[in-house]
Amino acid sequence: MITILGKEIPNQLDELTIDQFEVITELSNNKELDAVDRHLQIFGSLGLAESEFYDVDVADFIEYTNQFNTIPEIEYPTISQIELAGYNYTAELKMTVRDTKLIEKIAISKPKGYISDILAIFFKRDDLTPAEHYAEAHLKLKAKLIKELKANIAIPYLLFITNKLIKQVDKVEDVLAEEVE
Amino acid sequence: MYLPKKWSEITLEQFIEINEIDKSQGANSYNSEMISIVTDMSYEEVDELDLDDMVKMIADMKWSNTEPSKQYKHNLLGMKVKPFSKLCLYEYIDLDYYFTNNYITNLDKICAILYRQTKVNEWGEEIIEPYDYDCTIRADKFLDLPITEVYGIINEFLKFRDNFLNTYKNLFNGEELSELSEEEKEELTTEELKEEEDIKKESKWSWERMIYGLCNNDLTKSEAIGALPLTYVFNMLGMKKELDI
Repeated sequence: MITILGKEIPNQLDELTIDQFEVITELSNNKELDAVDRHLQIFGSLGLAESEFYDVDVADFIEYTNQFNTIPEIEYPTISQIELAGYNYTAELKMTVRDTKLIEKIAISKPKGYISDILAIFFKRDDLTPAEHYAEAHLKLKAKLIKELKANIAIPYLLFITNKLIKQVDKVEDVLAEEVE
Repeated sequence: MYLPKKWSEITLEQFIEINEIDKSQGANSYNSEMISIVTDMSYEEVDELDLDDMVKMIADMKWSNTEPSKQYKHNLLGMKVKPFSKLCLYEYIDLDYYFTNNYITNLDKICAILYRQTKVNEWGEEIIEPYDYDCTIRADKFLDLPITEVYGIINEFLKFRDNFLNTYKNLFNGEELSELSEEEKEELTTEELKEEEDIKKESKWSWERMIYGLCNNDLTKSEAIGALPLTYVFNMLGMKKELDI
């Protein structure tokens, strides 16, 4: 947590909820916003209204943004079991073709707020069958509940997907390179 | 589960199915459907595979990133390819329709038109069966053939069609019509839009209009006109146009 204008503002991944993390990610990727606007909106999403910065000196504002953006490199452990609304959910660092297709669909159709949707695919309720797990309404409700969890849970899973995709691209490039030869 | 090693192990039906996969759903969705098609595994079985296994399978199928051979067999299922120069008007119109719409997904029907039964008449000459059979029933016969036995016919016919259109270019409207985008439509005046609609209508019914004209508005003659050799019909049309008769 950092303190800005007397308020405690979360900035570490184990302090931010996934919901807040999704908003910050979306604002950070918005190329139409300049650095000042981007940070004003990020602070706004965390409970500090833009009007509260009207009398703040620019140098102080820059200091706040620097503090906010200072995130130590931490290797977050993989959390494979969570409890949501009284049910146990278990996840594995493993992707079936169906998981991948669903994640791909989310990536194509949902430009923002997709982290909770992706985690909803990984975490499977212990008492449900695979068919029930992949039911659209179930995934939607689970994603909503997951939004309230801390963002550090998401990191190992997002890194896992990224590594898988990199591997896949490497493999395709190898094949294409072989064809050129 | 057997993974094919080359295009010749893929049937025309599988090739059409692969071509019909919705590519907008992403690479993994495409790959999983393709694996299901070529291995005959159900979609559910493929869905349960580990992603790494699917990636390996796709890598093993690198041949599928290339085009099948452009060769084709001239004799298949006891039939022969009808020489393009001998095509009749209706055969060409149907082929033109299938090629314009999607010559891959229509390849079975294209083969059904181009591969024909023949017999030798009492004069020892080869006679080609008339074009009065059910094309869709005939098309089914080609679905189990390896794609490599028929794929090349696409290129061969396209070459013929280009040459044909070039020879009779004065009888065809020069430019092909494409659908206007909403933005493009907004830029046009009401008159221009109407003109565009009229051109589209004319283009949509161009073959029918031509046949109607050739029949002198007597539709009972249309079957006979359709059975005339393509080049003969277009030579006559060319003559009519040149002499303005």
